[in-house]
Amino acid sequence: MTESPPTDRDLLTRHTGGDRDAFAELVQRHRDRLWRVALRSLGDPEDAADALQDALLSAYRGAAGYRGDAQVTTWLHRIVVNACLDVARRRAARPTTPLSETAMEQTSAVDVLAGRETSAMILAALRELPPEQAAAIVLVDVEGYPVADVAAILEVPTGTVKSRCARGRARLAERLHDLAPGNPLPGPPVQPQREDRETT
Amino acid sequence: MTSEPPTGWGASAHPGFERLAELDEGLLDPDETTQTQAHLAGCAQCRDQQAQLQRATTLLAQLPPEPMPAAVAARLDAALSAAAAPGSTTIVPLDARRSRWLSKPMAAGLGVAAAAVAVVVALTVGGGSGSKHPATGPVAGASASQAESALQNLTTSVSGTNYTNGNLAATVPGLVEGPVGTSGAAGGAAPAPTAPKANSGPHNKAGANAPMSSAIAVGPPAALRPLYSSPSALRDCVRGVEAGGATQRPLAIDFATYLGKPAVLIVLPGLSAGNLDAWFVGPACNATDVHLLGYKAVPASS
Repeated sequence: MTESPPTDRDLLTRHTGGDRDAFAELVQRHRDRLWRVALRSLGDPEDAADALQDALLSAYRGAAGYRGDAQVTTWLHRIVVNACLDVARRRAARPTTPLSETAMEQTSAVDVLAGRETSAMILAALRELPPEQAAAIVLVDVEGYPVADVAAILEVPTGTVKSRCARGRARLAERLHDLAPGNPLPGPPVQPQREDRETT
Repeated sequence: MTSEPPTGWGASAHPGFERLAELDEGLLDPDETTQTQAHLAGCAQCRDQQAQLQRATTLLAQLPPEPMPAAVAARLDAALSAAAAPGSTTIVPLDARRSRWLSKPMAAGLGVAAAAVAVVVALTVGGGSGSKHPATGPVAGASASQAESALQNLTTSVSGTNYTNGNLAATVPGLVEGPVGTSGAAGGAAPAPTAPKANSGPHNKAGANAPMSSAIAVGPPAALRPLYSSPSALRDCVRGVEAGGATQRPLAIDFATYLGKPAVLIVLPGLSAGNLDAWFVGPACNATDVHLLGYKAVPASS
């Protein structure tokens, strides 16, 4: 009478076998958290929607290339994170004033006056991070995924994940510190990343 | 205050946020760990920084959940079903879909529910962390009746052109720029069952390189007749193409073929100035599944 629901892998197999509904069901299962990852990594709903659409279409078309040596969710997250990094790089290449500076100033004006450290402040600071650091922070600190899982998603060693997280947290703490009441001066612009110190 | 990078730092120098974060993450070697911990024991300022790091981590973990906005979900569904549609060869470019689904107020395509969705998007977008997209536009700007009237008496043509990506720039602008009324009208309650003026449309001027067979076409490809002869079916199809975006009157609708397949070309104002959006949809086009065959942005004048 009762059937256990298909696993993610079942759905992917059905999809590559031509079942037109299987992929939609797979997406339905995971899209809220994939959305959160994209939204938190990019800090902008439109950019996040673009990245997610790009990623899901890419996953849809590339499902046959899924090797089966990773969890389906790991594979999906990897595609989404990579799409976010692409969008972030394109955004960085746009010849505009960094939005995050304005965002941070507006946020700080309101929140610091109110004496609050809010999620809005941390989000604004998150947007200023180099995309690789933001992705690691979002997966580990926001979503709470184990470092080993995040290493699999990002296809880097666990030490690299930890190192990106540590540097990202350092920047976030520094920004929050600058914005705290009694420290009214904004910090210096974000400095170029020192990739040479990355632990491998 | 901002911590100085610890250049040649000794036991007395402040380690700074980054080294403290590395300490917490277990990334320092044993000597550095001992040194940093010794410094922390005697330095309230650095302990304060360490607490600040903890605070940042806590704030990150406490970020409120953000369910996917319904408009984004609808957009993804549409993109995936377009990819799943038989014969689909072209993936809708992000920029085009982005504006139709996310930026613009929603109108008749998805009805009242969509307007509610638009409110959600506006709130999400405008209320976020200093988003660059303030909640713009009249959310329920286009009333249902306005939206409906935009799609009444749609003007169509039957050019018989076999559109290819190579001839769009030469043909599509001509469809739009031509004098009004020269193309066949299939709108209204009594659509012409055939299109006597099918070949007098402005497209022939611009589409001079269309195959000769187009000159003797007397009606749309058989597969397209249902859309051609039913104004309401055609309206539904146009709604599907515009789903989520503002309802606007197509600049041209041409029954033709695209890459050899029966296709309706729906030309909409471009999302960027100076462009036209050319949507090719198949015979199965309806309000929920447009049977997308292709999409191209075409410069408005060639």
